[in-house]
Amino acid sequence: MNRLIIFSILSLVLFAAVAVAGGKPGFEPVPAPHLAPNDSVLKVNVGDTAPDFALPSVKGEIVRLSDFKGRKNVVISFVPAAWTPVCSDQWPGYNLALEMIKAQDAELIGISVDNLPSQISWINAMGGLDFTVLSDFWPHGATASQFGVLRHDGMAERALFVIDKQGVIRFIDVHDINKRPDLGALIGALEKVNQ
Amino acid sequence: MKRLALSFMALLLMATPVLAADIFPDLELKGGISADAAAYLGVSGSQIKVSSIQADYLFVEIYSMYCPICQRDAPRVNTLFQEVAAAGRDNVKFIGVAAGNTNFEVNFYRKKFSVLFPLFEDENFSCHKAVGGVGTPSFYLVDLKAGRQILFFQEGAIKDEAAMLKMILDTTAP
Repeated sequence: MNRLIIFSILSLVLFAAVAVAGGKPGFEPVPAPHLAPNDSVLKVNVGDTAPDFALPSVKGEIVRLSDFKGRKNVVISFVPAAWTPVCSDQWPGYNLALEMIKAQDAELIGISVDNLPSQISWINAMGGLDFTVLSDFWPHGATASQFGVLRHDGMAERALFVIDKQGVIRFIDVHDINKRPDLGALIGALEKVNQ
Repeated sequence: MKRLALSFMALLLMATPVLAADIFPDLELKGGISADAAAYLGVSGSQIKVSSIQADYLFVEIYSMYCPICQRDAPRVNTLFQEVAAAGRDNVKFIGVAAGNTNFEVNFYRKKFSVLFPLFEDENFSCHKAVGGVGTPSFYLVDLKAGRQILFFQEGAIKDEAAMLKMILDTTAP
């Protein structure tokens, strides 16, 4: 009987080791629990002027939304947390699609509430990102809060905002935090801005 | 106690992805394909299943547009496809199933990496769940004439492209 129990436990441990070793070499996101799809109240609407912000980037500069006014459309991608599975898919996908976003005369800005060292380590683990990533760590989630996408647990929602060259919000998708938004919907929104 | 041990073993089996020697699920492949792709797979109509593909062997990549490893591996998978075709192995077909990806995302990936074999969308992860939620990319070589028996399974990047090509050619030799 004891041998059966020991065999079962050893099998489980072996399976776990194989699963980790053979899963996704080089980068293994930290599993995240299923969360309430949304947990915040938007403070902005389509047609509003987007609130300005100034946040530190992973490249060591301060980036303001107003830097792009009159020059570029802006896509802001808020993600909940570094090192988690959906976020670790979403941004590499946007990195691949960056040429499509830029073709719409738009700049992509990624924002999370993680601090800069965490963001930098995460981005390196993912193989690098070619778009601007900003830290909304301190005052914690202040920019997410300005837009109304700061959750009660301190994470940002998984939210997309498209802001035109006049600084007006043209598209909002506060997505189910557990799921990745469709890239097609974002590109479609950008195309509408340029029509 | 015995029940506890058996429960452990049951959990172990349930958590295991579809592996070599298992039977590959008869996935319903969604998203529609071009006339050329349908001709390549020997299928017709809007409902395409793995079992309806006319070939002896099927090489399946479970991937995602959002997966950096899949992005890096895409040229290698293209090369594998081309080299298998160049070796005259008409009995081996390739498909990709895009876990969690929409039609837009599948088309973008196809164009971005000039993928030459058919890709199918899996927006609601139904195919991905059917294969046990494997990591991406994952690769299968399936024997269609032997009831979809899995001959090869690999989860993770292609580390040795030549070895994988040799495996495909050796395994599917007439």
